[in-house]
Parts: sequence; structure tokens; C-alpha cells
Amino acid sequence: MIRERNNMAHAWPYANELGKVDVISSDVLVLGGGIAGCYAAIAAARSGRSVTLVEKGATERSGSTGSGFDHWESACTNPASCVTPKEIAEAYIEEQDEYSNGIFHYITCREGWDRLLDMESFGGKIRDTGDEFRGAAFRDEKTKLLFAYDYRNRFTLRVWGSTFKPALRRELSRLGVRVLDYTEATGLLKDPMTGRGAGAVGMNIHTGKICCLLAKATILCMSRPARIWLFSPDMVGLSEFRPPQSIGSGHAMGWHAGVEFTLMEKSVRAEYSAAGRSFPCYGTGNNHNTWYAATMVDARGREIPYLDRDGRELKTVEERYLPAPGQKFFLKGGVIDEAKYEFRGPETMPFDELMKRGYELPFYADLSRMPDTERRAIWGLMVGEEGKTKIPIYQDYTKRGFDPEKHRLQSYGTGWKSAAFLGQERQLFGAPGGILEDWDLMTSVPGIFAAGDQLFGSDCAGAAASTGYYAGRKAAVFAEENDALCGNESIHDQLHAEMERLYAPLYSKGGMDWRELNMAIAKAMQNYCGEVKSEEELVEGLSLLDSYEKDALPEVSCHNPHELMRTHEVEDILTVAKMICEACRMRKSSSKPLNFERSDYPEMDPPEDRKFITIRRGGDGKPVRGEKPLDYYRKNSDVETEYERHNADYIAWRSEQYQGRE
Amino acid sequence: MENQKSVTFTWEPEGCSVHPIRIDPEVCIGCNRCVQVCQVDILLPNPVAASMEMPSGKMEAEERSPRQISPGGVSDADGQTGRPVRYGPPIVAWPGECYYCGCCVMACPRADQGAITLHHPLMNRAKFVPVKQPDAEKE
Repeated sequence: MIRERNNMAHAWPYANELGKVDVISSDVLVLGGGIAGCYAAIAAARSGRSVTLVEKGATERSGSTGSGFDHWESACTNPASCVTPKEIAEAYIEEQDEYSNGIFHYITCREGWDRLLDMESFGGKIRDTGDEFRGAAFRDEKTKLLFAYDYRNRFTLRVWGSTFKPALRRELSRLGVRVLDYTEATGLLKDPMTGRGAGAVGMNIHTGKICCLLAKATILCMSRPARIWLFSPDMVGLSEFRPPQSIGSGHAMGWHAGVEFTLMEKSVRAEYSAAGRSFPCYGTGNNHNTWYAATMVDARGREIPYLDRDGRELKTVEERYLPAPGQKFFLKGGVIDEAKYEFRGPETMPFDELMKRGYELPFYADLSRMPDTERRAIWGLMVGEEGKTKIPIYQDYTKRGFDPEKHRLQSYGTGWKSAAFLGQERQLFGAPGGILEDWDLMTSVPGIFAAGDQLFGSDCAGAAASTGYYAGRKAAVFAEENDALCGNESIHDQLHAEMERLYAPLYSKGGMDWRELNMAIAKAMQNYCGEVKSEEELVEGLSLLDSYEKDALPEVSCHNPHELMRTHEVEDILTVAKMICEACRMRKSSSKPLNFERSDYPEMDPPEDRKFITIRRGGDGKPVRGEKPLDYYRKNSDVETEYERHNADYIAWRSEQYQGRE
Repeated sequence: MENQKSVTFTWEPEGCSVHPIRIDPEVCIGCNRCVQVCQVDILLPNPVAASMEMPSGKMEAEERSPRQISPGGVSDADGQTGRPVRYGPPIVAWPGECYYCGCCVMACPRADQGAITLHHPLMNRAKFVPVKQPDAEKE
């Protein structure tokens, strides 16, 4: 596609700062201004370090939770909780067949409540101060906290997440964090002498100005990869579940810097994509996540039964929120699909059984049959505070006349996914692969830390906050102990090579649109790295992706910094796609928990392959395979003991800081 | 890079099948709050100065001195008069990239008067119908 500027072209409304370079030095540099990045910057700033935060959008409303989120999982130390952090963290590890990030889960379970108290002090709303839900089964009357899912054990909270990002943004200002909005982080800098992280390069997406961000410690808080298999060139913004600019640039940057990743071979059949297939997230009749445990009915208005884990039919709405007889607690939430028996919560009767019993499609969510507080918790609190629901669902549907007491909302497909996808349409969902970390949340490259969605096996917003803060305080210590910034001259070559790469599409005469390349990558991944993989296909796919890098990428032309940013994203998508293909080649067996199937190695989960296979880029640019045992972070020990061994300082500080706060 | 070869930045309207964000120029006060919060950066500030008269309708106190993004992000005030310059309604430059999060509407000081509205693609408007008692109960 040749694209020439014609008389439709308009003048650019922002300044042209092409070629200008700002050099900014800080103790700690945070890349990404979502929940993880904000908390990381706050922790580092509280430790007295100078902090710069770089965000591609506007920190006030950026990231997966920019518009809000409705529940905060596993805040096990809240005053009403009946579970311990160790119990829930170990449950997640077992539930995920040990292909699980135990460090990440334990930090979430142990520190999540501290981060909620922080949020409240910043001005975010975490409890029912207006007494709207007084007397509800999910309310703790003493603390006014509201809970979701397991009402007996009370470890996941319903929160007013739409208030959170603006509150975090204000706190960053109060603490003097330098926030660079509308600046994309593009590449990590390394000290050529020590091999340590030395900061990053960024570009202002309005003006084209380059930022050379020198730092003693750098924290990757960007997104998980996306737009790898799924892409709509017409409705780019609806290609995936997460925001369209959150595509895994942090993973690509980590790859180029030699950071070690794991589980990158894992992907799942798509669950969410609205581009022509799904409906708006949380906007159809369903009974999962935000909508748990909505009353569901069939076409004739016949109520669909809820069953406990033993198949016992539940008679009341309240029972849907209680463990089964003899069960301590159950797990529900973002990454829990069909839990193991031990952790399985109440669920509607399986679809096949419903068909056998004559239930008729389409199904609907019918909130009119629920108690008033439960109805208002789903429609108004959860739908309203969850991301992308306040305006697109709650307000939009209300304007269209939807009344939860009078209307039922249709389901599409057979479950909560609101569309049926093909096997080759894949996503990094359900605790996907990412950066392998240690108990300091440091990557394999000294001085480079990671948090939130960039860690392997990542999960929800509460986890992003908890790991973000944790990485922030560990990076602050690293910056104090390694108190020397890399000199300008030693990163000179890296900076200039990066500038040349970033600006190249402005000078290209090729005329290709960035969307054409993204579409081609997605099609290649569906064809060569789909549901069932094989060595031959993966090698073919890599060869095609290599040709895109060599021949197609230089053909992409841009006319302004916004298009340039989109092109940089596609270049990163190409990098990540290749990493995924290489990681798939490395696992020479199939695996049920990893949704990983190989036609040439059909054996499922042989004992010798029950381990983390790791991948990093070697000095020669070739992928390097490594291994870690599944219990690498708790070998001959347990998550609680290891946590306490690494966090005596925080435990002491915490008991002083949060003493007596409920 | 002192010797960076200069390039003139331009943009052109994108061909796209949807119009997710609509701005009513009669109500919009050109404060650019929507431009400032859109994390996908689909909006551009309007470079053309609008009349100094504010649009009609009820005017809240804070609207009388709206926060401005001037083109280039440099100056908020008119060089000669020192008064704030008000620009025209923002431009939805990349509608296809819209994430449908609604943050622009949440930030708009005149959203309740319809200054900016969000519209799902037609195919994405989920269906709802009046509740129905079970057939068996009716019989």
C-alpha cells in the first residue's frame, strides 16, 4: 500500500522537537505509569530517592485500570479476613500446577492490604463510607469494607477503582516525582563496563523529542504483550482486552537488554477481543468476575441452577458466595477459570448438562431476581467501577433504557467470554509468561527490576500495586548501594543508535502503513504458532517474521510522532512474536497447564519437563535456553519464610506505619 | 542530534468505519481535558482559536477560566492581551484506535450537557429485553 501525503494533510498541532535530547538523571527510573508504576514510584520516593516516571499516555487515566477496577484480590491481611497470606498464595501455586509465580502471589497476599490503606490516604475510596450497602451480606459493618466472591473468608474486596488513578497521580506530584506523560519508553540503557542497567531512552509522542533517562535503578512496569495474534486494522483499539498501546514494549526492551523470561511458550485461546467478535467487556449477560454471582435464566425465563463443588444445587443467592460444606475457602477472580476441586467455588450447571435438560438459548443475566444489595453491587458498583464500565456500560446502557429491575441482559456464546474464538486466535491471558524475577523483583540484569504485568504469571490490579511498591523499595535500596550514574559518554553510542532506529520511519519512502505490518505479523502467528505447534512450522514462522523485520519494517513510513509511536509498537510486537516462537521451540513436549500442544512432541507433561524453561537473548543475538525448578523461589523452604527473610526492614516499618489502622 | 535532518510533521484524517467519540461544538468549551486524559492519544487539540465568547448554556465558575492546551503546548495566554486563548473543539484524529474506556467523558466538565459522547460500534450494542417469569409459573 503506497501512502503519499496529499492535500488532505493537516499541520501538526504540537511543536516539532525532532533531534532534541533532554538528559534527565534520577536515582530510580520507573517505566510505565499504570498501577504498578505509580506504586513503584511512590515507594522509591518515600525512601528518599529522586524518581522519574515515564508514561506513554497520561498517568491520570493510563494503564489497564485507567478508568477503574472493581475488585482487589487476595488482600489477606485486611481486618475482616479469615485466611492467611500463606494459605491463599499456596492455593494459587497449587491451582496453577506450580507453573505459578509464588513470589508475586505471596507479595500480593501479604502486602495488598497495606497498599489499600495507602490508597485511602491518597484519596481513593476503598470502603462504603456512604453506607449504601449497610446490612449487606458482603459488608463488614465495623470497617465498612465490602467483599466479593467468598463472603465467609473475606479476602477479595469490592473497591471504587475509578477514584484510584487520579489519586495516585496527585500523590506522585505531592512526593515530587518527575512524571513524563506522553513519553514512550523505547529501549533500556546498559553500562558497558558493569553490564548493569543504566536507564532508558524515551520519545515524546507529540513532539518527537528524545529523553535520555539515566538512572541507578530502573523498574519495568509496562504491559504484557498483545496484538500478537489478534489485530483489527480498522478498530485497532478493540483488538485486545487491554489498551491498544499496551502491547509489550517493556518485554521487547527487556529482550534486547538480555533479561531472562519464562513461560513465553504459554498462550490461551482468545478470551476477549471486541473487534467484530466480542461485545464490550462486562457488557453482556454473564456470571463471572465482575458479574459473579448473577442470576442466569434461559430464553423462557427458567432459572439456571448454581451447584457447589459436589454438584449440590444451591437454593439461595447467599449460598453462591459461601464455601461448600467441609471447604475452608474457594478461589474466584481474574485468573481462576475452572478451579481444582479443592478450591472450586459455586458455579452454574455445566453448559452440556443444561442443554440435556432442555434449557434454551439465548441465556440472560436477570438481576431482578436478586436481593437489592446484590443487584446494586453488580450493577452500579462493580459495573461502574470496573475498567471501561462507568461510561461505556453503566451510563450507556442506562441511557438506552436498561433497568436491572426490569430488564435481563443477553449472553452471547456459552459463557462469559461473549464470543467463541478459533484455536489459532490466541492471547497472553490466564497468568501468561513474562520476566523471571528473584525475591528483590530484580531481573537477571542487575539494576533492572520488574513489576505488575511484566512479571511472569501476572494477575490483577491488586497484584500490580503490591509488586510495584515492592519493586520500588527494592530498587531504592539498590540505587543507594550502587550510587554511581553511568556517564553520558559511556552510553553515547547506545543513545545515538536508538535515535537512528526511532526516527528511521520518518525518512522511509516505502509508504507502508504500520497497520499492514501488524496485520501480517498476526496472520503469521496464527498460521505458524497457532493452537498446535511443530518445529517445522515454528521455523517457517520465524523465517517469515525475520523477512518482515529485514524487508517490511524499513518500508513503513510515518509523518508525525504519533504514527512513529505506533510503528515502534509494531517493531516491539515483531520482537516479542519471535521470542514466543523461539520459546515454543524450546519446550519439547506438550503441557496441559500451559495450554501448550505440539504435534511432534505429543507427550503431555512428562516429569522431566516439569520446570520453568527460560529464554534470553545472548550476546550474539541468538536465544539462550535456561531452566529453573518450579520451586526455585522456595526451595527447601516456603514462600512465607523466604518473604520474611528478604523483608525484615519492611516488616518492622510496616508495624509502625500501619499499626492500629483498620 | 544537532544535524538531524528536518521533517515537517503532518497528519491526515483516517478512514475508519466507526465514530466512537462525538463532540458537540455548540457545547464544548475547548478546554482540552479530554485530550489531556486520553491514554491512547486519539485526540488532537484544535489549533484554530475559537471566538472568545463561551458557548451558551449554564456556565460553571471553573469553566470561566478553562485549562488550556495550546498548540505546541507552550503558552496559554494570548501574547497581546494576556487573556487565555480558547481553541475550538478537539479533533478525533484516530477514531479507529479508540479503546472505548470513556475517560474523555469522565474528564469533560460539560459531559452532562452532551459536549462529548461515546458510541459503541453498532455491532457491539448488546441486547436487553424485559424480564420474564418462567413459563411454568404462568401456566
